[in-house]
Amino acid sequence: MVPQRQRKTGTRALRYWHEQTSVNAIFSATDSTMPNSRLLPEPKLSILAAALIAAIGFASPVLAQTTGLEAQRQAVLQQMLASPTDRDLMRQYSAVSVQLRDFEAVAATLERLVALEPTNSSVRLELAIAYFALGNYDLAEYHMALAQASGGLSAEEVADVVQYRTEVAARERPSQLSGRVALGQAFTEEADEEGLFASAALEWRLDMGGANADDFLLELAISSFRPGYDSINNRELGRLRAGPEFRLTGNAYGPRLQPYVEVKAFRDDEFVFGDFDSWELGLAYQNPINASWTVYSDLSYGEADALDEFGEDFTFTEFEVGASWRPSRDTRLRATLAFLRQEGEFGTELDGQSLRLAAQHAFDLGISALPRKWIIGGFGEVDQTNTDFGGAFGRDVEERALGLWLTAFVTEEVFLETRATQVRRTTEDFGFFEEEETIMSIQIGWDF
Amino acid sequence: MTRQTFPRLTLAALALLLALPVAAQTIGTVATNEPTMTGTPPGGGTRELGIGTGVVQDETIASSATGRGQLLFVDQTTLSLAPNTVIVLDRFVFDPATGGGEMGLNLTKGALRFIGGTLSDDQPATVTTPTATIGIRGSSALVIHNKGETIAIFLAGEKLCITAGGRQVCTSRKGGVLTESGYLGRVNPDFLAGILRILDGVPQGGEGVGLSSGVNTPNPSDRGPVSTTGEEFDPDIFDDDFTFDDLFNSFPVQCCFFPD
Repeated sequence: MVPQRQRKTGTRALRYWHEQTSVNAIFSATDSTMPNSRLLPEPKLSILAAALIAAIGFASPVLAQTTGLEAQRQAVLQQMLASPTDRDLMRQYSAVSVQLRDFEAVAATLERLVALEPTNSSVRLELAIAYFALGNYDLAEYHMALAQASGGLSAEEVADVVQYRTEVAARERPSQLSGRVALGQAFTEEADEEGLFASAALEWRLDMGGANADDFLLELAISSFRPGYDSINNRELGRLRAGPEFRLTGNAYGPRLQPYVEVKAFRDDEFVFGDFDSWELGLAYQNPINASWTVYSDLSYGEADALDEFGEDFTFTEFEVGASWRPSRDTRLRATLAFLRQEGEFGTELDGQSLRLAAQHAFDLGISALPRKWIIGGFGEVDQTNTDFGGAFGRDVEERALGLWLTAFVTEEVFLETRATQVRRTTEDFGFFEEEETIMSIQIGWDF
Repeated sequence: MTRQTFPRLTLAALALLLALPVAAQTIGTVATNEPTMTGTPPGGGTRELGIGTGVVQDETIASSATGRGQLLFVDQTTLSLAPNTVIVLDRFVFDPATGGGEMGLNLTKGALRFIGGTLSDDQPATVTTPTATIGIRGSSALVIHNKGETIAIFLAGEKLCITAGGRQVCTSRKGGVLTESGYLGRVNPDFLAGILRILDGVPQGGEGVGLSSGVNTPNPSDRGPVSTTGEEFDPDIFDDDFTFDDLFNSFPVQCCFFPD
């Protein structure tokens, strides 16, 4: 590969690669002789990513279908009121209710069927799963234990029961630990480098008791990228966030607010600036408005301590707001707007904004040896930052990123994950520069 | 008036009286039944309720010491009655076009399971006992009134409230127990099993064919809970996992400027 760089105006006189602007950071490598950039190729991932997001968005059930399903369900209900013991009507009604994500209606129907067929353990198991969906693990456990003890379940149903009961036992603990660990390799196409990519995230959720089941959350995440420093310069990041999560209206599925404190440590490789320690205070808000729409926001303020010699400490304020649309339980599309302002101790000011569109879809391959759904996703993101160094100096940076990823579970807990991300950056300061990098990775991971 | 005319008129009047409850708007139907449940419509005589019998507003429904049953209402609410239970369906207004309306019933004694339908999605359905009022919004609950005490157990959904002595206490914790004294904590599994045995009878086991509702398909064991109207939280909404996409966004910009 012959690395090239499109330089429309002049030569960079200054090294400023220490600027860690979200996705900009991957271009943090070297200086004006940076070898990782070349003439911009035709976008490789953009068409795929756009197609994926569109496919996930439009191939899923849409609102019109929901309206049709509701009309269908009402028609079946009218028949069921006239023939309340008709099993086929109960099946139709439940099946449509499942599609409408109304598991309460499914539970009600199955309660009636259990009364009509009290020795049918398979029906009792379905009832247990409906209560599991509704989050009542006491009732799920009650019915699953009865169904399992009956001896009337098939081997496949028994395997299901074991899986569900294990999950119920885990979710019933007042102190819950979950997380993921992944290890693999990252590759950069333009810079032609590769290296270790490791990450881990741990979440501890503590039930604080009380009538509304508020939790205290502690989240720890660490990661390490070692693909070299021509493109994605090596880096380590650690983050710890802690705070209670409150139900604001006392509704189980109403708005939640998490005030939190977060500390981070970022270490770049030794050839570039950009080592930080920081702390921040924030408020994270999430409100599922209905089955399809959730809105969310995150506001934080903090201070970062630049560790490099001559580094400039700064304060930062970030605000993120977004909406998530779920046309089905397996499909999710998100749009997130983020705003950023930073003020350095020597007077440097930076304003930034970004828009990210993301989609993901969980799907079943229909292979019994693969017990867990796979997840495919894609995203597109645009970031813009404007830096004012004071006086006549300034810099505008625009990043465009597109990505695709696939998480393939080979067991309930072990997965393979592959990602491809293409990032383009244009920088305008003393010149005008365009750069591009495509990063791919594959990891094996453990989800627990 | 001849001697033959009088009995005919009497029979006709009696028939009209008996027909009145039938003419009242049916708000639900008996969906399951173990002998014996009876219903007493307003202005009518007591009748035995069999599967498929319609029930009307203001009807008093009672189960015998060995009787139990489930009622399916036109708004999709399902009500299960334990033995020795007496309820009055004293308020039921439902507009099928909008799904709006209200629902209220009196529990004089006994136990019931309420699995909400359309009416309780947006505003609470109420169960009034001699000592308390239970509000059930977007939810399912068990309500017991025995020996002058009311116990309500939150099963699923948004929120369950109890009002007694001018004080209201609510819970959104699954299995949360409310009484006139307030919130008592989570239900003991043995107590819950005991109530379910009273409501549903002693469980029996055996083989059978499932309903094929598909409830397992979109709801594998690794999915989080969902509300009674399909809402669920997104655990990844703030992208706490560390992928390299997230990593790029995970640290604030270092804003500052250094000359060579």
